[in-house]
Amino acid sequence: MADVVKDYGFIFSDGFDRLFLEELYGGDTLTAEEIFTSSIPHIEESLQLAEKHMNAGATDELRKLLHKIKPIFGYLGMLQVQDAAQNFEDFCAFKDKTGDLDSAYGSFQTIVHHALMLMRIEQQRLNEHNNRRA
Amino acid sequence: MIFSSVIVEDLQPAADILRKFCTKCGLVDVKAHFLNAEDALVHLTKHPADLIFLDVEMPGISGFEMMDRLGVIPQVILTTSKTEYAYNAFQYNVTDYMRKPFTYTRFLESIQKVKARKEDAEESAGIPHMFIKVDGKLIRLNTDDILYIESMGDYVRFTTQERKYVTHNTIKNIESRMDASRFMKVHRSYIVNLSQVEDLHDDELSIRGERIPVSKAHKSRIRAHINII
Repeated sequence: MADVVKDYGFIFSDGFDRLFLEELYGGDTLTAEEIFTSSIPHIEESLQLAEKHMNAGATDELRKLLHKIKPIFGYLGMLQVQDAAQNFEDFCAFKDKTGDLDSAYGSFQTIVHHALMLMRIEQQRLNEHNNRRA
Repeated sequence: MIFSSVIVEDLQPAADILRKFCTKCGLVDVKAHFLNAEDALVHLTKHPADLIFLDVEMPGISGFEMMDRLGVIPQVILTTSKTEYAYNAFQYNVTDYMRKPFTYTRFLESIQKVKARKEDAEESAGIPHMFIKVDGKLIRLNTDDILYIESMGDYVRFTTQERKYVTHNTIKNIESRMDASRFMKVHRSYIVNLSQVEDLHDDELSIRGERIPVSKAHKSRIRAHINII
């Protein structure tokens, strides 16, 4: 960890897969900030769209949406959230009981909303770090 | 060598990071990014690229359907979250298949495959003949004389105008060495010399009176490749 501080001056917070993010961005915190900045609104929009699909009972559209946004969590170092998205995607593919779907969706929403909170904080940290270095 | 490329990806963050990787490696020049395959098709028809980074599932037609409609398919790197497309990727002879999210290291491995394939193709295109080992001897074949190549398990049979030759090799290995603009795989077991194709009907074609099967997966590609008026 000391080497990471020495080389990059930025340590990703708990809740993020640090090793994966270091491998992904290679210490390029400017790119990391750009990806965080462009990804967060994308996830927020997708959640709104997911809500619409849920209300319409459009599980296939919901599944496709999850499939699409899933990698974004990976690009932000939240591999467990990516796995949760995969699990819910699989659930949508195989389940057709509305009650079960509501419960699964509720759980997934909770996970993603918490993840979004962490992402926003991390995006701010990256921004402050990059501004200090500029 | 710098590869001109096009990104076909409807997920903006994925396209952004891919573009960054391309700039970072210094070997790939991203000319355009499209959010769907239809727009990419229009562009690529007029402005061919060396390399396409292609997502599979997008609004409208899929990445595979896009490849079916392209007249000449350049090198393709498929990017997807699913592993289920691996077989299709193999059928379409894409250069590589990357699962999202992929790291820069993984991206570089892919670009190395692009480079290697380009070098192999240049080597094959410049060679009007090849040597194959038959019964312990090296036999020279002029590539113009090859009518078609057929897989026979661990062996491959070359049919020329004069005779047939059987050599120990795989159809996949042979395919990677042949000039893709002149020789095309039309079935998992057959590669044909396009200049020798006499007719094409439904699920087979004819070369010097011999019927060669054409698989469903390859049918659109061969039709796209030949000059139908």
